[in-house]
Amino acid sequence: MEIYWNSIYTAIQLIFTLDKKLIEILALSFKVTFIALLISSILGLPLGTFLAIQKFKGRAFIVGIINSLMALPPVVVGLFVYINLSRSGPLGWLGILYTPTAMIIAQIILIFPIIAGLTNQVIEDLHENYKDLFLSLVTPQFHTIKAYLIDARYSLITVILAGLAKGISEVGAVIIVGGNIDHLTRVMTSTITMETSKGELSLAMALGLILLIMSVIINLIVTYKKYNFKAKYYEK
Amino acid sequence: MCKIILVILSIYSITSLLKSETSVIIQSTTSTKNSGFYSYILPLIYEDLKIKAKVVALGTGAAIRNSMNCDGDLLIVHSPIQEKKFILHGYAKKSNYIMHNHFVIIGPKSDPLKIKNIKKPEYALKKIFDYKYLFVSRGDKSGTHDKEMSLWGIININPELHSGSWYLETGTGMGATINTAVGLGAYTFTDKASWISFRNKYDFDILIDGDKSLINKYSALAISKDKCPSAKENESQEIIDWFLSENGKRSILNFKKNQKQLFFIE
Repeated sequence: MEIYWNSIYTAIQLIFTLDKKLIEILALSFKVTFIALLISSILGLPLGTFLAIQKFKGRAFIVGIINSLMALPPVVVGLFVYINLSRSGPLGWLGILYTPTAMIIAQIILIFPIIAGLTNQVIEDLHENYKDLFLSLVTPQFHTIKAYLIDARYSLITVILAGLAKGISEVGAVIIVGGNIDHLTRVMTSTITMETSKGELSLAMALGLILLIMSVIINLIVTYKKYNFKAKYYEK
Repeated sequence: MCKIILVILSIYSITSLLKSETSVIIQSTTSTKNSGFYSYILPLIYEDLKIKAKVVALGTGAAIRNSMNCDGDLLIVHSPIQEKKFILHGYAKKSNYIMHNHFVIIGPKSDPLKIKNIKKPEYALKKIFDYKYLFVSRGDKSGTHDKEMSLWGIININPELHSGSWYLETGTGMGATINTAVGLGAYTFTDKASWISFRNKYDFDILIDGDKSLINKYSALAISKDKCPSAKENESQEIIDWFLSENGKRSILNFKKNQKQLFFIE
């Protein structure tokens, strides 16, 4: 029981003293996931929509592959990126192993299928209702995709939050390609793993608690915004 | 408003990625890192040599594998067998002894098998084997695992045949293995630096300690430019020379954790 109180106490202490190290790793955690999320969204949202509205041979296959990539274990992705970025690997000349860039690449591979796959599902449902309309208006593909993305924006926020959750919580990939190097590639999850392996269980738990609090804050802000906007547009 | 914040955040994050500086990457065993040794010693090295070093901590096996992929410049490990292989393959010219401490067998204070008074570690293992008492092993080709296996070798027992019954291989780092042992009340084999700096000790204590055969030697190897053209061999060698200098030795000996000296020099 004592460990609960200890970790809560440690968490409060870390937050209120604005612990420098904590802020550093917390900032890096969110920076890495934020950029990975941004890039995954820029690529995944249009692709998911395109796959939902365009019929072509092999579509089912591609959607099936994307959906199964959602189940990729982070360690496997980490290993894959490591092999490629290693100085002995094909992309070794880039020299970006053990940098935040490598961590972002790994997280894009993790987050992209989630964004593309879930977007595809959301738009597919919407497409059932609108496909005749778009067909009769003969809108170009690009505009149709844009219209769908704007129309489905509230559902897509949830999709993006799912991507954020995946990125911020995984440790398997970032610890392999980042190396958990102090002041450089150390993020929340890899610190928690390290503190656990030092037997600093209450500190590890406290860090977990802080990560949870941050996620709750972000999710609450976004969800509140979403409902506010919805009320503004639809319930005048 | 939201958009502006988003754009600023994106620009900030992407530009901050571009600035990077060169430094030596140390592929290291975990015990030196988890004890806080590098946080203590790297600033001292920087002060003297103006060389920055980044540490990636893994088991010796994994550290050597990464170094063979040329993903490091300096290797600090503690497995003479694997170091020899590493040199034989031409990845380094020489293994430099920098410091040592000791391996120990730890277990519950109550010591259910009463192994505490046994002098030779291998006889303690024999007793654990005879009673089929729970024993947790690293099982990850680390320096500690190599040493443990060599002790089993002395008494001609292959514990891996019993893996999963009384002999449990975690395949993970030292800390995770001690956590497992503490959780199960099992015996395990560890190095003293890891144990002294470990915090989740619960009712565990050192039971076997002090036998000459349990010496744990840490060595530093500069990764050779011949095999890895990108390796910063000269800087690594400078760091090694620093470790071997009087100043370096004194710094190593002065390092303490929980009021205890962690590393020794012959």
